[in-house]
Amino acid sequence: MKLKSTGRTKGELNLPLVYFMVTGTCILMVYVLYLAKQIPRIPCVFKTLTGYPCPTCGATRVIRSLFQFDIVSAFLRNPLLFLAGVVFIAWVFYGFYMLFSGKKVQVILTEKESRLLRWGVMILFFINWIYLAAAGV
Amino acid sequence: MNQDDYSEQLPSPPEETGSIPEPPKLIVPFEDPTKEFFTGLFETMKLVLFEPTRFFRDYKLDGSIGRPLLFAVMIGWTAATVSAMWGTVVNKSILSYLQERMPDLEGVDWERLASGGSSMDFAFTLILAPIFIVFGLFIIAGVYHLFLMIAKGANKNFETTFNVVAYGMVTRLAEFIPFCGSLIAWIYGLVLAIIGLAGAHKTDSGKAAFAVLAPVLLCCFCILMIFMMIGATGFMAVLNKSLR
Repeated sequence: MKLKSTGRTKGELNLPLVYFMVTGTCILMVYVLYLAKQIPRIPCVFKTLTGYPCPTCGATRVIRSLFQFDIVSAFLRNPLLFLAGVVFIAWVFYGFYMLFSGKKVQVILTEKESRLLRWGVMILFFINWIYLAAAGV
Repeated sequence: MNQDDYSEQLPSPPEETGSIPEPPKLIVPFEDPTKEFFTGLFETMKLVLFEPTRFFRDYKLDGSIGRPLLFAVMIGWTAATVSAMWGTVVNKSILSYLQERMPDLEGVDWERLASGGSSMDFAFTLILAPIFIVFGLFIIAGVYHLFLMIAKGANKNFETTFNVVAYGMVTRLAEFIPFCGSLIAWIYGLVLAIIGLAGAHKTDSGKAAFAVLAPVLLCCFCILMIFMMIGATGFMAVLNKSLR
């Protein structure tokens, strides 16, 4: 794996910050609903039909726990979703780095490393799913 | 003849601004008369969905609004039909199944959820969707352009903003996914609108984000105020009762 730092061209889109602003707005909207106690508990169709949780089961509870600043509980509700959130936050920080430094960093992976990453994510996905089923989330 | 007379006749030298001349804009495949109708449609859909930055930056979007409007109506109508179909057939049957299994589930208004998918609604959607799409496009484009002007980011005309909104309708295709399709369409639609306004108006993403997200935040603020007012009214009523 190699990291290559290059300068940003003027007017180049800062995608992490665009996603940050959109996600931030959505979170604010959900928080308004949360304050007004209007977040409905929508049941998972997959779980109802099969009896097993789907890979994203617990997402609403992760959000509820985060609004109550209960980080441990949020992690236990759905570890992979929580980790995805952490990766997203790191990506947003990278967006701020691009904004203030005027540089961007390219991650260059070899074919083998990309394959390893893809397999790693898939394995994590299934381990998380097994955990959700075992923990009865 | 002195030096000044010569200089008047000679063409003025190009200004040394240091900027590279802008390359000519490409024609949007759907607006290209040399392309077949459906080839152009699918190429445009693919470009907007998978290469939005390049599409909104490099393609000509400040022309007429006729073809983009047709594009938006076609996509929007298809999406509305699919969404209504999910509401009528799939969601309703799943919801009735869920209601059977979990009748006492806390916080779910089954009647309200199930009421969204009658056959009458489906027929109304088919007839009225194009009209609502056209009105909606003009209203959304107008709001975005107004906020872009407030942020001093409107470097192109209204047609550019309109075309960004119209081609951004392609995200409505996520309605094909039942249950969460509308949410995905809405979130990706916001992202595409920001990318589109920044690219087409040649403005920075902060101003584009302001134009797209400020109206949403304003709505959010209004909803919060309404809830606070309702809460305050309830509190006052309780206070009045206790004082008596």
